[in-house]
Parts: sequence; structure tokens; C-alpha cells
Amino acid sequence: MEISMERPVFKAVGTPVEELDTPALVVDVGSVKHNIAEAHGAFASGPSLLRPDVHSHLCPAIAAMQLDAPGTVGGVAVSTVGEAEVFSENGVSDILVRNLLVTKSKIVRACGVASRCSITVVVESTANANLLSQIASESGVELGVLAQVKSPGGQIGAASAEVALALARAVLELDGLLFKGLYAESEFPSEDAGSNTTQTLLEAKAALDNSGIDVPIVSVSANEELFNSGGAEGITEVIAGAYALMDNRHTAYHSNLRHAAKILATIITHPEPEVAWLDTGQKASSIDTGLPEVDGASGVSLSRMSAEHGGLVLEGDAQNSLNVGDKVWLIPSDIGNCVNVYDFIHAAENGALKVVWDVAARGRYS
Amino acid sequence: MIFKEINMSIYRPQIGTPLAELDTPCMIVDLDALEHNFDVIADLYADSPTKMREHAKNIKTPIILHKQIRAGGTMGGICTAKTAEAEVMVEGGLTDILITSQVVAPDKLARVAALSKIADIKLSVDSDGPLNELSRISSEMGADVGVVLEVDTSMGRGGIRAIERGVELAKMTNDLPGVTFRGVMSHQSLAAGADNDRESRFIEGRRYIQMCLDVKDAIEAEGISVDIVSTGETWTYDVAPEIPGVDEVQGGTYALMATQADYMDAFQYAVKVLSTVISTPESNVAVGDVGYRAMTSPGGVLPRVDGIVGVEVESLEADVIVLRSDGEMPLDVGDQFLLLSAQQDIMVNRWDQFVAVRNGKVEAVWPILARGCHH
Repeated sequence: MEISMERPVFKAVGTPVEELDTPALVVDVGSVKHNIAEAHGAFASGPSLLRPDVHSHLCPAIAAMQLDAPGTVGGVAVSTVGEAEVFSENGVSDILVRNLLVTKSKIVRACGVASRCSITVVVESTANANLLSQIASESGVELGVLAQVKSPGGQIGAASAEVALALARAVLELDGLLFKGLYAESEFPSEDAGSNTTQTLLEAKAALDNSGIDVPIVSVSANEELFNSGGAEGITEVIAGAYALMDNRHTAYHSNLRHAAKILATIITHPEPEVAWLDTGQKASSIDTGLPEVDGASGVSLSRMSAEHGGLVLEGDAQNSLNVGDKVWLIPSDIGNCVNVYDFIHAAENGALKVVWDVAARGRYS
Repeated sequence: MIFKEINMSIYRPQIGTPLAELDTPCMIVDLDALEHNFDVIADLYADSPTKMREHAKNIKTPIILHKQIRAGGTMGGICTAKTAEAEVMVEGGLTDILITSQVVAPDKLARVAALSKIADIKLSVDSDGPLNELSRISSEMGADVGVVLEVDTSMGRGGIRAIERGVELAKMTNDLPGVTFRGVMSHQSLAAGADNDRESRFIEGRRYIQMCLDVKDAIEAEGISVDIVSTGETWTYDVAPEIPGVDEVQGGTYALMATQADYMDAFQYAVKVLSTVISTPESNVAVGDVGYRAMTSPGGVLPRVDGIVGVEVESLEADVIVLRSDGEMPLDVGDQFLLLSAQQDIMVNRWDQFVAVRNGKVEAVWPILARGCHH
């Protein structure tokens, strides 16, 4: 089944980005390289390694750039089995699925992925571990397992170090499962809660250590504080993804990173001096975490979005300088949510189209 | 790293699969509800000069649009918000399409003109620059594109705002090659509060639609014929046929419905998202496997749990949903539940297929062919 349905009207390589059909998701390759060099550099010399969260871009080409860079664990994190299928098909050899898999069909699919790469899942209950073990054994594969520890303010995971210890012991006894360690998810933004999550994880690790259980992996996700410091002692890997393309909601946390992904939009009507409307609305940007922000145009701001339209407010000179047909750049609020509504990323260098990347894991919710 | 060049096929259930065996999250369409909604339109417009022009932007799937046309009550065509959607719909066998957003880029105007050679294509226009450009490109291609003037009645968005301006553009269209003046259209929004009360809804609807008819009358007074008066949207579906001169209604939401339109109680919820409980951290809390990335939460409005009394949606995160119950949570890990969307238009655009269900079993799977066609 052909699932790439967007009609990008491919322009020739070398086309200036402003001439792309709009709305277009455009990524500046130089900025991606800069962001990867900055972030991975911190981990190459820091206490922890980085596990790129490809849920933030859904794009194998970007995952390849991340895994080619230093400072990683050599694998990625995904949110769904569908994403694991796509990235394993594209040559990624080590995948962590960050959401609980509780149904037989999902676990069977995860075991399918395990036949061609190393896959690790998270668990919070022995009942779930038993089901995973049964299906993995029947499939003749081994699933890596991290026991999820509930972070302060979180919903999912073992509620205490004792519960995590009991869970680890149960997993160690089960066929088809390889106990690999502990996992916790921070809430975003996590500058305040981050150290609490780390503390919770380290307490659980100490309980396992004291019982003689080997804990090769201690993994934490979505933690800006740990990300900026290249991790922390005792944490083996930090899961992060937005850094590669960046977005608005991460701007405040990463002043060293560039907005590599922007949406190119066109003004289609200009009914009043102070009002203009873009051909880009919620469907082509995703505003669940907030509106995009106008980039590099003074006196121009985005006030609202309907399904297919973006409403601009123009002030000062912008009221006369912008006309129907002119282009405006938008920086999305949540990059993963934005990429998910595009089939293709227009990758550009020096302001010209260089290559088109497939957003291969777009829409893989299950 | 080696790249695989093909897209993997997505999980597509066999016909006859029970709901309980579907992998989740899964967007389903209840066929009985969908057909009920189409019948409401067919019955209402059967003997009326006003007809439905269903909006493809909500559905994005030619086969569903054909179902309404076959059920009846339509003028035989549809509308789209985007040029790329119109291309998909023409390929899907639709032959009469009104593109309701302005198109201004020369390469896209050329695509509109090209489509007009194989289907009856009409484009919404509100200013002379793009109109002249459309005429130039269309006439060079030997094409003829219908022009429908958008009238801004309440959106503060696209559309002419003065009657005289409408007359000017209609006259201008009449003098240009490659374009044919066809009519006027408007899209109106319902003020918050007016949606609870049928009388206010009718008063607002009549007022906005009359603004569009005033432009039509002024253009006709200049001796230019106005074939089409097209107004939207679902909330005026029963207002429009009471007003002489309205030819068609651009309705989208009615087909699948959304909780934000629940005051339109003639229609049933046809689109739902099936989710599975992955965790029950407290006795009255359950976490499901779908989040805002798949469901959307426009303006922070949360989805609604369908058919389980006493269970509410507490929050929607990127990939999970948190449910809370009054007493003991009736759902356990592995149990499925259905969610109703607050705004189905944005949600449908994030999915590759509708899994069409009747009596608890899969009856069809329809690819959402215009998904992602933002251009």
C-alpha cells in the first residue's frame, strides 16, 4: 500500500527554498549538523551517553546522522512498535520502545522486530512481564527489558524502589527476557523535576545493586537538565530528540542550538492593512502545544490558526512591505508533532534544496 | 546505514476482524452512523432547491464523498480547501469541485488550470492580482477555470468585504480570458454561545447568508448572471434551505461529527478512536495508548470517552491519555475503549486510513488519500 500521500511537487535540487510549494517543511542541513555536534559533543565527554529519540523527527535520514555522530549508545528510542518496525527496516540495530506493550498483537510485532535487531521494552508489572516472556519464548526471540520506575509527578512505573526490585527479580526468572536495567520518564519541561527523577532512579538502582542484580542500563527521557549537562553519574543514557531539529518550546532550554526546521508559508489574502492570512494552518503545523512563531520578519506575528489558515498581525512597515504571494517562515511549537503531518522534509543547504527526506515513521501510532 | 527505499505497508486489518482484535490506537468509522448522517442530508434536501456540496477537507477520502452523492441531497459535486486535495479528488472520480481557499502562487494556479481541463473546477477568488494571474496562466494553457468570489461575512479572513468590490471583481472576471464568473460563496463561523440555541443559530445564519446574497443581487443588477450561491458550513445546513437563492451548502463536520458540534443533534458520531488501557496506576485512574499526536486537542479541548458512564478524560499527553472515574475504574489493563474527537477535521488528517466498522466488525478499510495534501 502506497502511504506517501502528500504531493510535494518536487522541485529540482538546487531550487531556492523560497520557491518551494507551500506549506513546506524545510530543514537546514547545516543547522542539523551544528545541533548534533553541540549535543553529542557534550555526551562524548559527559558522564552519560545519548540515545536519540527519533519520535521527534520520524525520519531515518536524521537518525543516521545522529548515530554516525559520537556520544551515543549506538541505538535509538521510539514510542511505538510501528516506529520500531520502520527504523529497524532502515538499518537501526538497537531500539528502545518507551511505551508499555500490553496486547498480544503488539508484543508479537515487537518480537518480529527482535528477529532483525536488538529491541528493548519497558515494563511496570510482573503480569506484563509474564505475557512478554510467554510470547517471546514462543517466537524464539529475546526481548531486552527495562523496569520503568515512576518519576515524581508521573503516572506509569514501579511506585517504589522495592517494587522495582521485585519486578527486576521477576524478569530475571523469565524465559525470553533479558533484564537490562531501569528507565524513568521526566515531565517536560523538567528543569525542576529532573533531579528528582534522577534521584528516584538512583535509589532504585541502589536497591538492585544491594541485591546483587546487575544493572547495565539506567535510562532517563525528556530531561532538559540532564541533557544540557551531558547526563549525570549513575545515569548511563539520556533519551532526547528535539535537539536535532529544535522547536519553540525548547528554545528557552538550549540557547546553543539552532532552529533547523521551519515551515515555509505563503500569504494568500491581505484584507486589512494589519491583517494577512497564510496558506498554513493547524493541519500543516500542529498546534497542540502552542502556535508556531514567525521567524525573521519584524512587525509580523501569528495570532491564530484555523484548519488551513494562519492569521498574521502586521505592525509598522510590515503593513506595506508584505503582499499577497509573499513568503513567511514559521518555527513550530512541537517538532515531533509538526513533522508527523508531513510525508517529506525538504532538506536544504545554503538556502537551496539539497535532498528530500522521507518521514518514514509518520503516523505510526500503533 | 542502509536505507530501505519502500514504505512498509501499514497494519491493515482483514475484513470481518472484530473490534476487540484491532491493534490500537485505531481510527474507526461507524458505518451505521455515517449512513444515518448521509440520509439526514438526502432527506432534507430531496425536494429543496438547496443541495449539499460536501467538504472534502474533513473526509479526504473520495469513496466517502461518493457515498453521500449516491445517497442523495447533493448538487453532485464537492469542495476542497486545497489544490492538492482537488487533484486527489479528481483522480478519485469526482468531477465538480470548488476550491474554497485562495490560490496565489503561479505554479499552483497552473495546477488548478490543468485540473479544469478534466473536471469542472471553480476557485475562490478575493483580489485582482491573483485573478489576473489565473487568467493569464489559464488562457495560455487553453483552460477555463470557474471563478467564485468569496464574501467575508464573519470570519475576518479571506473574502471581499464591500458589495462594490464584489461587483468590480465580477465585471473584471467577465472581461478576462481563461476564466468564467460562476458565483459567490461564504464561510461563516458561529459565535460562542449561539451554538446552544436553535433560534440564535438561525438568526446568525440568516444574517451571514444574506450578506452573500446581497453581493449576488448587486452583481446580477449589472447584468452578470450568478449561477452559484454556495455557503458553509454544517451549522447552517438547515438554515440555508429556508432562504431563497441559496444553491448549495458546504458541509463537512456533519458526516463524521465532533464533540464541538454536539449541538447539531440530528447527526451521530461516526468517527471514533479505539484505544487500549496500558496502565492503571490508581483504582480510579487508567492510562490509554493514544495521545494528542494522533487525536489532536485543538484549543486544549479534550476528547470524550464514548459510552462509559462516569469515566472522564483527565489529560491528553503526546502519546497517552489519562482517564479518571467517579468510583472504581471499570477498565483494566488490556481493555479497549472508544474516544470521540473534539475536532475531527484536524484528526483525520493525521491518519492513513479509516477502518470502517459495522456491528462490531471491520467491513472496509479506506485509505485517506488526501491526507497530508496541505498544498
